[in-house]
Amino acid sequence: MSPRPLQQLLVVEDNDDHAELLAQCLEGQEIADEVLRARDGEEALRILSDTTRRPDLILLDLNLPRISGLEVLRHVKRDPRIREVPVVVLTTSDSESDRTSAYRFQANSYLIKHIDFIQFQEQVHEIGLYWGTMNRPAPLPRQEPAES
Amino acid sequence: MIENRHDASGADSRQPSISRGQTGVWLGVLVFLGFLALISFLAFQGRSELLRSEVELTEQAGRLRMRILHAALLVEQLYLEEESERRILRGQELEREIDVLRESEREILHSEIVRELPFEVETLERTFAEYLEKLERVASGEFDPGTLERVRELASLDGLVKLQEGLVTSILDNSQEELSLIERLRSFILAVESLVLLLSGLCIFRPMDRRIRRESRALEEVNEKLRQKAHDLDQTVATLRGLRSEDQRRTRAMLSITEDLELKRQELELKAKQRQRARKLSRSAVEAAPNGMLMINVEGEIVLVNSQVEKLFRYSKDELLGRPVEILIPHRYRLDHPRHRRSYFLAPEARPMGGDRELVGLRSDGTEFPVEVGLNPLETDEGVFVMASVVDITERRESELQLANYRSELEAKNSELEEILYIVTHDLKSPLVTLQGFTGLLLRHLENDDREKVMDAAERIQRATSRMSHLLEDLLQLSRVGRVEDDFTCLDLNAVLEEVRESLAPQLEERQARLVLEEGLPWLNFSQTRLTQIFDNLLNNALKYGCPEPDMTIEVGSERRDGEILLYVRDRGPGVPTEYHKQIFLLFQRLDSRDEEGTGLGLAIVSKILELVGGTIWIDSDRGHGSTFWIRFPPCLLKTDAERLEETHA
Repeated sequence: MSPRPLQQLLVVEDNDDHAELLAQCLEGQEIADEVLRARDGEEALRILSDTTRRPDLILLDLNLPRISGLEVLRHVKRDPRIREVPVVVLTTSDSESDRTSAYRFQANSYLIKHIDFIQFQEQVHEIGLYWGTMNRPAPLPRQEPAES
Repeated sequence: MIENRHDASGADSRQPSISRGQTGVWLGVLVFLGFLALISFLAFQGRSELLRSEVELTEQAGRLRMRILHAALLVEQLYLEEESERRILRGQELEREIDVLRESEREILHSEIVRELPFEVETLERTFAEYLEKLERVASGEFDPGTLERVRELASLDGLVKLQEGLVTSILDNSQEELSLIERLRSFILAVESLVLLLSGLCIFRPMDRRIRRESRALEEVNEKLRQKAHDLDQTVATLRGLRSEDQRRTRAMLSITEDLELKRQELELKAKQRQRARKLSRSAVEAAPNGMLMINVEGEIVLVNSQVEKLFRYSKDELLGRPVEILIPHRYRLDHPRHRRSYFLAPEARPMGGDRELVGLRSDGTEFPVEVGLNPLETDEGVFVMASVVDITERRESELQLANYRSELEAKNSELEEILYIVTHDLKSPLVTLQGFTGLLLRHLENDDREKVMDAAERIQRATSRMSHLLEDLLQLSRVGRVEDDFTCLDLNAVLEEVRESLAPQLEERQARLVLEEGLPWLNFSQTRLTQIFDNLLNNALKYGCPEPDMTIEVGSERRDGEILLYVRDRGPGVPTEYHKQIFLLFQRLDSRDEEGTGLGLAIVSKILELVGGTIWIDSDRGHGSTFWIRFPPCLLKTDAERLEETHA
């Protein structure tokens, strides 16, 4: 059995249904050895602050209570230890403003929660494979955030 | 004897000489007549010529005098009207010239020559006429010794000098008499000359007549004197003429200068008139202008205002004219203004005043108002002025402010709407994702005959649909607030709360919570639907978040605070941290990620309803000590007991 592309995947999602959907998408895909779940921004930051381990990929919902998805994203991209972990932003809306702000905060990719389950599953799969095969990507070129 | 002989011989010699003498007499008469004709012709000729030229001379002198007078008047006028240095100098020069002319004229009139002129010419003429008669008689042999006396008399000329004063006066008066006198004198001289000629003729023809010879000599003397006189007279006349022509020349020169000056004066007058007309016109234009117009001079003094300025600044014209323009400017700007003003006068151009600064006018009563000022330089003969046009922009400012308010209000509304739209799409789409996703999975689980997973999916689908319907319901409620006209009626709050309690019975039972309602809560003039919505949402909120454990109490009551009645809904739940006290009333704000039921709209709906009627809602809470939602209705909506009684009776 070949090793899976990802050792650890962190899903940050407040909506249980959506988290379950993602889990089922990933099930049997043989993408990640372990899938961690955070229910909100606070929990996500707690998990990320664990220095003993580091996820290979973060799937991050933007619409989180208390600490928003963008806040988590900014935190990740400012922390030199986890800065290189790719972050895929999840959102229900394909709004221009969401997309721009996500990329402004240096999100690596952007995934719309698709209504069609099969399509969604395929996209999740592709993203997992892509970032998995990148396997420890080279340090990102230093990029100042576009925000002033 | 000898004497006789002598006498006889004398008589003898006389006889033939008489016959010769007769011929001579005839000849003499002829010559005399010829002379007479010549004399009268010459006299007439000379007389009329002289008369003509002298009349001209006199007329010219008269005109000269008039012109001198006119010039003097003009000079006077010029003094008055034009104060130009050059003109004053020219005027003075002219005056001096006139003085010189007058002086020379006076000199002529008082000169000896003129004084000696006046002869009693008529007397002369008369004498001459008599003399002629006598001469005739002499010629005809009747010699009158009296004639000799007359000739002597004539020679002495003593009597003729008597009336010189009259002649001087006539010359001074510049009358024609002077000239006619001279004229007569001339013809007289001619006459005397012819008389002398006649006598010489007689002497030739009657050489023996001593008396005639004597007479002739005396006449010649007279004639010499007369010639001398005539010569002097000629010279005088020539001098006079010369002076007069000099006078005329000067008069002409002066006249041309005067005419020039007159033209210039007329031109200036015209210009002054035009200026005056223009000024009058511009003044009326200024007066009629809808703006306040005021003109200031280089010293910053107000020289012209229209009635609009009076109205704007509440001053009268008299209070403003001559005063510094700074009195119309608030004190805090006064210090700087003269500097601005001076720099403007250095490089005047038409432009709005103040650049980007906001300008303020000061009224006489000390109040201020925003103004807009346009500046226009006016270059006139009297120097540079600045015409300032002042507009009161209070109304414009106000409407600008109002517009800005509307705009920011609209912008706020717009961004709120955008936010709502964003959240609505997100929140509506979220359960849709669940629905679709699990429906797909459901099919797969059914194929795999995984009963447990089918059940799970079905439940999730059910929850998602109910969430969606809640959300839609709440959205509908929210959209109706403020959009749908509500009927306001007098409501018993206790009755409304009882109804809410009934509708909430299942939830109350599920949470095993108690609802305690205070007795005798106030009556309200309100829409029943909205009032129900307020308490339904608040109680639902308290049930969801304030009753985590069974057997907890929710209270609804009232409290009098600062003379106002406040209503409250209180729970004993975990409470809300202070930092979220404002946030919870905003749209789609949920504090708990595990919150499955809340749509995030309930408190926003309550807040919105109260905001529309002028009421407020706030939370008083701390973590672990429960929450109290305070509601303040505007006092006008709360009914007094008396009003309530009246309503119930009605």
